[in-house]
Amino acid sequence: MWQMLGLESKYAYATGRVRVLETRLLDRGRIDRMIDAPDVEGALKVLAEAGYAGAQLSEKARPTVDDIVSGEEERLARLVRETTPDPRLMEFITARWDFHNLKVMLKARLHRVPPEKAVARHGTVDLAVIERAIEGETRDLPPHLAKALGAARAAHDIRAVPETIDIAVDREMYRYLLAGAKSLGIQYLVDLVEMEVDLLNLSVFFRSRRMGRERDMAAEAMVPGGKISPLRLIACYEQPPEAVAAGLAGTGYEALARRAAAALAAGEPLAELERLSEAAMWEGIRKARYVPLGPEPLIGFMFAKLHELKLVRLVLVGKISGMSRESVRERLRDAHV
Amino acid sequence: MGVTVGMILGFLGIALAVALPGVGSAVGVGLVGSAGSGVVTEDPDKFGQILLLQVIPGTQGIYGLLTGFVLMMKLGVFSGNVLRLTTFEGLLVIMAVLPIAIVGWLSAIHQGKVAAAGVGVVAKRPEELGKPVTFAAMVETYAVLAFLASLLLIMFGLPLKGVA
Repeated sequence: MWQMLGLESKYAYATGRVRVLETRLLDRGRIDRMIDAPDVEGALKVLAEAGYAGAQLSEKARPTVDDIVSGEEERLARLVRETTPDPRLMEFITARWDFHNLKVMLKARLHRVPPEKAVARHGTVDLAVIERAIEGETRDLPPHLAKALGAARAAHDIRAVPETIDIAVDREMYRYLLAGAKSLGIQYLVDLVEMEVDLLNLSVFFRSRRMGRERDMAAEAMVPGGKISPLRLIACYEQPPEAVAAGLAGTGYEALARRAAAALAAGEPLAELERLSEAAMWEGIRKARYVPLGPEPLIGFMFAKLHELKLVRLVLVGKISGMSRESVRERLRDAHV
Repeated sequence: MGVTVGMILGFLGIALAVALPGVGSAVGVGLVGSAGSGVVTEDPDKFGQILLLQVIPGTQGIYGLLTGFVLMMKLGVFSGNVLRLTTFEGLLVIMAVLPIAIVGWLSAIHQGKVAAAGVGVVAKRPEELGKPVTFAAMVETYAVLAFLASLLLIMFGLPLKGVA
């Protein structure tokens, strides 16, 4: 009988909470109101109405973007911690922050940039531990991060540009997340991580071609583990753009590849690729909305909220730096509604 | 007065009628309660609507208990003069309770799933409460049919005489 219920009963509480919280996610209308607000305070007011505790205006000082985003990240982490019966699910949020912090701090060390502003505050690994590991004392660093650090250093030794650190750490991160998703046995989560990998590889594929990079360089930037093997993508690398979609037949990304290839052939910007990638990702995330009970609603919400925070950061930074509404809108993608 | 195998089977029938739908209802009600607690944590105003959904999978347990009571009366449990059933009569009692025991058990769990999914509807559109209630009530049909079948079998289909 318990098998009959399985994960459904374990995640019933989480599903209930998420169903309410989904109604508080920023919809297109609210994002538009933020963009159209005459100033930053107006945008913060919209956020405060949507339940962003950190966006409340006080007389003392205006909250910073980092404070607002960090406060919401903390709330998301608390939600997952309180509702998931499997603590390993937490890793899907915190591991991203840990890997991000590793990247930021390593790049800062090797390229002498101050890292403080860009670090995620709620990773599970103390920043001092990462700092010491970068200096060579890796004893306290979890093995998955130590492996990423080693790979990033090795890649950077060969080609000393910050991009190599991003590529090496991302590769280790997705490898780690994929293994974690598989060990949790939640197919929806595996599908989402695989889709992230595929979309990243497709982006690398088209951007590398646009920049006229060598095939080997593009191959090095690709991450294994998605539904499309990097080898299959690389096999299409030197084909004419119109043949790329045919080369990806049966993967589910043909339409995306066709549009991106058309933009590539016409010498147009690849913004359409980004938009289609986001749309594909949301299509995957939205599947959770049709699952009545189980881990999927919680996982879908995690991905949706992290995406929302990216949008919020983008809009607020745009407002603060005085970007025009059109430019901010241009940089935004579809919100999870 | 010794205990017959038929009496043991008869009592087993009562136990099955009460226990299996009861367990199913407990699971179903628990499932809706868990999902409902999640909603109420974020939005306490929805308690009343969710309570309505939560009671729905509880009815199978009541049907099982009623079936058990009718059977107890039939076997003379309340009069203190328990009928000494033959083995075949005991088996007939078990057959008679099987519809509500099995259907009550499984339908309560499935109704719980439907009602718990309905909790999500209430979380987003509280004004649409009638729809998830209707979906959950559809599962009830089969529990009611099984209850009727067991009740009719016990009342009219068991020619219990016992042994002297």
